[in-house]
Amino acid sequence: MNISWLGLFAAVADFMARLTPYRERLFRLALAQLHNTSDAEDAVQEALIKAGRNAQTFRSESSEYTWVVRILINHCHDVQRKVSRRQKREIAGEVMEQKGAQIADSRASAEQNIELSEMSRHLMEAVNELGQNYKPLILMRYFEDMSYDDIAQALEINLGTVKSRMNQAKALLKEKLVERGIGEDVLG
Amino acid sequence: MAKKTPKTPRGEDPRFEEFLQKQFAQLKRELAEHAPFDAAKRGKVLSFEDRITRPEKSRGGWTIGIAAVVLAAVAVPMVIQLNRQKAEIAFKTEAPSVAGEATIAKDNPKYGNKSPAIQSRNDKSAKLDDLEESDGTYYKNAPAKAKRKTSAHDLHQEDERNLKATREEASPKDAIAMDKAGTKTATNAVREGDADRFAAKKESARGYAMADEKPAPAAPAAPAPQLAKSRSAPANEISGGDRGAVAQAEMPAPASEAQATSRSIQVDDAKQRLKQQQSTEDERAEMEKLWREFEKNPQEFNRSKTKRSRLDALLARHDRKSRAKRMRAIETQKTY
Repeated sequence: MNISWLGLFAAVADFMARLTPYRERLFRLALAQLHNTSDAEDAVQEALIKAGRNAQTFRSESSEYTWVVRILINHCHDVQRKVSRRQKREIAGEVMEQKGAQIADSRASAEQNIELSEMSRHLMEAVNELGQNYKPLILMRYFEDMSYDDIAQALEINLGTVKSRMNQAKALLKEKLVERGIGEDVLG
Repeated sequence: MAKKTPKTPRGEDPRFEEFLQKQFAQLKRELAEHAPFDAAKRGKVLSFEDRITRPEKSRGGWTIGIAAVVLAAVAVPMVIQLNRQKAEIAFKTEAPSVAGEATIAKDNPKYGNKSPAIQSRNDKSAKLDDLEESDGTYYKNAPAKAKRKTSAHDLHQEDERNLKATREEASPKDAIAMDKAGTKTATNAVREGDADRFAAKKESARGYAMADEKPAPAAPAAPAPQLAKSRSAPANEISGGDRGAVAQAEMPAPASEAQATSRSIQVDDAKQRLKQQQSTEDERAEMEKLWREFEKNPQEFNRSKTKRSRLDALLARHDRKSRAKRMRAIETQKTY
């Protein structure tokens, strides 16, 4: 029993050690979605913890990095959803009594917000609005420069599904960008 | 006819594809400028990885090492101290008397039953002594202290040796007579004590006279108090004739003491103690007598200064503080 626990621990440690070189890339990916350094750090940490806990379930069909990228993107999506829900409740005045604390919290996090160019900001906002089915595809493809095969392995879906979803994601993204008045000259 | 597969998926816009790649590349650059990667390195991720990757063994090793050092620092001196105490106790219990030592020495002529620590210590000291004796360079003792002052006991022993020498020269009969006289004078000396010097002087004078009248060896009642005189005179100077007779008459007291001393040192001590007790009792009796006189009539008593001073001395010597206080109180009453 102890030996099995030790073996598991050693496997997790080994897995985490292998992921160490990708930390910066993971952080950048999280930051692109969350626009906040501390949130990005937290997201990377949570993603690595999740990956470590489920290291035994990793089937080695895709690379470890792509697997963690998927975890991180999903986690960032969850965080964004929570943030948007909270903002909606604040607007609705449901949590007026906690406003003071939240304002302070938002001020602290606002100091760690990063400033992007207008184009980049609109792009990421449009990407974030894509939804759970399309956002990981776009980020993996264009931010992480992953091939369709890697994306298929990471998301555990067929290659054809990846391609079709990718087309749908691009079309949706184009619409979002046009709505924002960006790239009209380029996109026509 | 083979179906042509397009290079890009159907409905893919190459311009939009290019736009996306360009914009995401720019986004990466901006993130690289803004993103504090060091913060991420220093952050929770690093600590988490450290916690995961570093085995617990290292931390345990440190704690175990520190604990071992502390334990050694505490336990080792304690064990050494306990061993020393044990050895000392064993030494004390196993070396009670001279007879015991003799039997021990018989059993094991080198060490007896002493513990190994003591044996090794003894060996070491013996070796050092050997070194010192053989003019070794290990160490030298500090210069010896000045020789002990010659005490009364030493003088006794010296006289005793001289007496033995004279006995050997004298005949056996003379020696027996000397012994008898010696025992008598010794008993006299014990009875009378040192306090009564005047009486002793008288007796010594008589002794001198008797010695003059009778031949020297047969002088039976030689006085003891002249012992001091005989001690002061060197034995070699004593010769025959009247002077020799006087000397022989004076000798017996130390001779008897010498016999006693030759048997055991403790007998001599007992005699000394008896003498002291006797003198103390005499002094106390004298003190009681003087005190009674003082209580009867203090003023009259105080007139004779010798009596008063003697009483004071005796009271001080025998630690009768209550009486001294009482005396002071009486005197103060008289004065007021």
